[in-house]
Amino acid sequence: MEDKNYITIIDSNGMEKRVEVLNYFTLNSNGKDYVAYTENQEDANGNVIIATSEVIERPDGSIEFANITDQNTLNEIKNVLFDLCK
Amino acid sequence: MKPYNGKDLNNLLGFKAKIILTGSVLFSVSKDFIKKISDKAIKNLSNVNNFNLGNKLDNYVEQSTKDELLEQKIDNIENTQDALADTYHNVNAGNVFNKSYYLKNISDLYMRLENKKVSYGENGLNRYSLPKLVFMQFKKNSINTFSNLKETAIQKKDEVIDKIADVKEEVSAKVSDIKEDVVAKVNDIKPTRVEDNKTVEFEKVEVNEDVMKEDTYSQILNTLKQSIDCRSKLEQYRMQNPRIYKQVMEDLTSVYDKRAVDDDFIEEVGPRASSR
Repeated sequence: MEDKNYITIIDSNGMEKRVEVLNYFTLNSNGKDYVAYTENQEDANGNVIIATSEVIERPDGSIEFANITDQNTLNEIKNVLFDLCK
Repeated sequence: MKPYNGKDLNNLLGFKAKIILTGSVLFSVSKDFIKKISDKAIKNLSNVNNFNLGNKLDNYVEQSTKDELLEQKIDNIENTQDALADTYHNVNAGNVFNKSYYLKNISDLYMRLENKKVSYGENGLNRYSLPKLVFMQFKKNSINTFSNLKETAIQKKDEVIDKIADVKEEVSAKVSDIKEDVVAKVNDIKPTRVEDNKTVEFEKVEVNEDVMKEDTYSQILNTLKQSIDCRSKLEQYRMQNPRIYKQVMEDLTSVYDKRAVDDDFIEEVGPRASSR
């Protein structure tokens, strides 16, 4: 059942990664969709690394997990993560 | 006395309907008999017009009132439905906890990604590191929060659906009540007319049954027309054919008995039939 939450993403070099989707949400402030996921990898301190991206549908129909550059949006997403960590 | 030929007279005058014939007692017609008969017909016609107009106006006002009420009800229904639709949308979005975000069903993401290439760039990732316990709590909350939202959304949906059904039922009942009320009011309408700048309740037109046996509009109109035609033809005969005019006048005086005209309109000259 856990496999159900896994998807495959591909980097610019064509390398595929299997990642676990943690949640999928929309910010009320801009109506855009975001995803939080993880490769279940740990950093040097033993913390689990998670990533967030904006979900964008390109004109050719492909999906991109895009970088989030707007600082206000990043702050909002941090708040979402904090809210869900409580 | 020349025997009366009713058919000839009717053809002559085009006045077929209301001449009552006896021939037993003779009267002459006063000078303004025809005029008065026309005036009476005009008066009666005016009353009938007032009656018809009053009814039409009352019906129009009632219909307008009913339409206005129904339009208000329809507006209310539409406003309620809009409000419910907004609520429904918010519930669907899971936006029931008044937060700056709302969680979506991950399966929606899978559907969106189905058979599509998902690209990313290393530089495009926004990374965070979480202690394992926090990470586990994060996963748990993500699942539970969404489950709670979903459950709440389903509950809210049911409430909204019930609310819509209640509102529709309530409005339907009110519209039905309004219709019944309007119908009752229409049935209770007492025709009125304006007289001397006062609105008075309409009294049934008292049509002189010797002049007009029935008080329908068309018959009154027809009688009026016939009266005018009669006067016109009499005048025409008087000018163009005195012989026919004389014959007509003799026939008129011989065929109207006391039941056919008011005493005010005629001058009794005696039973000339027996003297001729």
